[in-house]
Amino acid sequence: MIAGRVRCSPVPAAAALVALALVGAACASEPDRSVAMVPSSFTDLTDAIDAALDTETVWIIAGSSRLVSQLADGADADLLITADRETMQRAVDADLVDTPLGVVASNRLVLAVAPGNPAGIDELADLTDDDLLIGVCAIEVPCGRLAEQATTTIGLTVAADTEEPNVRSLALKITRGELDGGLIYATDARAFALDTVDDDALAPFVTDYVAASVHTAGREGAGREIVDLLRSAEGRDILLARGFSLP
Amino acid sequence: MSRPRSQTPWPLAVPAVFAAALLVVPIVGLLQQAPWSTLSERLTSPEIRDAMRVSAIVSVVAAALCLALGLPLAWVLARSSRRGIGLLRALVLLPMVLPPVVGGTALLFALGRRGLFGRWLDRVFGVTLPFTTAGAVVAATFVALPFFVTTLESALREEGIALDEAAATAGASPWSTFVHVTLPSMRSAIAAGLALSWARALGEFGATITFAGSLGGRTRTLPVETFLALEQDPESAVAISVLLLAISLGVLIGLRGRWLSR
Repeated sequence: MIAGRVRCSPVPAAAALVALALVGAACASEPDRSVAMVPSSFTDLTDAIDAALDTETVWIIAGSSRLVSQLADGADADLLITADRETMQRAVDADLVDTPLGVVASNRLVLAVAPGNPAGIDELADLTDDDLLIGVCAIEVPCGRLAEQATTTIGLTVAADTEEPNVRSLALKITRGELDGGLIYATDARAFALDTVDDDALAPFVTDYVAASVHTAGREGAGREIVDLLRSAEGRDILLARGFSLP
Repeated sequence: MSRPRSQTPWPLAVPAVFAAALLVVPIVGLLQQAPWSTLSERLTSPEIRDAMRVSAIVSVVAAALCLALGLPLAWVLARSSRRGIGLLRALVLLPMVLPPVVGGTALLFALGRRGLFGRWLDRVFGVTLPFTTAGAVVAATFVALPFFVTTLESALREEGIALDEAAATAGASPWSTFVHVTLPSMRSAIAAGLALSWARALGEFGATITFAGSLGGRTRTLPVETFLALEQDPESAVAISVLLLAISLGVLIGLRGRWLSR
């Protein structure tokens, strides 16, 4: 029998090189840019903030709870903003942030209706109508907690057809007319140009966006300029134009 | 006669070990995070029982639809020589590369109440798919079907048309040939395709939540439940994942033992 000579395959070596290159790319840092973790409802604010500050912030946008888990898993950031106090408290308890910077904006809960309001929703009580397609956010996320708090306090049993994982997907389904109406934030109603049903009963249900700086050695103060801007007259105009309320 | 034990050449062995590690290491990571002591309490909550029921219904019906619709499609792809078959084959594979969330959005645009065809479904039949269990089945079938079709198509090609031709020469009609010749020879490929498409349907998340939404007992499957649990209670999310792993591993090993052994 003739022993075959084993030729060295280039494939494993190439794979290893590719893997190294990927790791290297992922580790490349950007020392001069602030890294800000902001909740999904800040999506439409980021360009305006960058324009006003004439900077290019690295924005990490996700649901508040997910931002906190990312920090816990070692994500690098300078600033954390969450969509409610409860979620920020979890970051504080886990020692993930150091300097609390307070409330930077607020958001109201509104009853938004599909374009043209085909179902004729005109009062909060319509949320309990089984024949309508109604959506809320899942109780696990801030907008769902706020909606739950509001409907319980007002005494409504919402006939929900879906409990969405984030307010954006809920707003999209209302915009497409797949849902007749749902409880979303004022900012999302503004972003999607949705009509809302005015009811003073919803007025007390407001969520506060809280900011805190994340301690990273050598980067003290990074991200603070965003909070300072949001508190300035210019920042307030940016917030109001997008449906936020002021703290 | 026993097969001689062959030496695995190292250029194959080394990457094989890496490949296996890449697949197994995350599972080990998941298992060591699992809250074993409270696992049974966490998994017997009414919410999780509901999600298990929804998942069971959705994944089994989706796999059945894959068989009913995917087998004929695989046959057409493997046997037909009409023009445009190549394009059709590429289109059939698309859901595999499309991010499921995009697939769900596409389903919404097509089959939603205000969608291209959904509008018509709603008006003529009064059928609204989004936010229903049927909608979750449609989403799961959409992502699982390509797995079934490709498995069956390659098996049909491998089998070739020699048997079919022999049957035709003996006077069998094409339908009779399909039922009495092709189908029996496809048994193990059908089992493999069912196992794959069922597993894909069971794990389906993005298209489901985008198209069918999430409501306990109706459209909230185990993966959707896991995703929501991650927001507040990661330990429960891990517990549900362990459950999903156990179910799918059990079924896949069972199938392999029964039908897929070579």
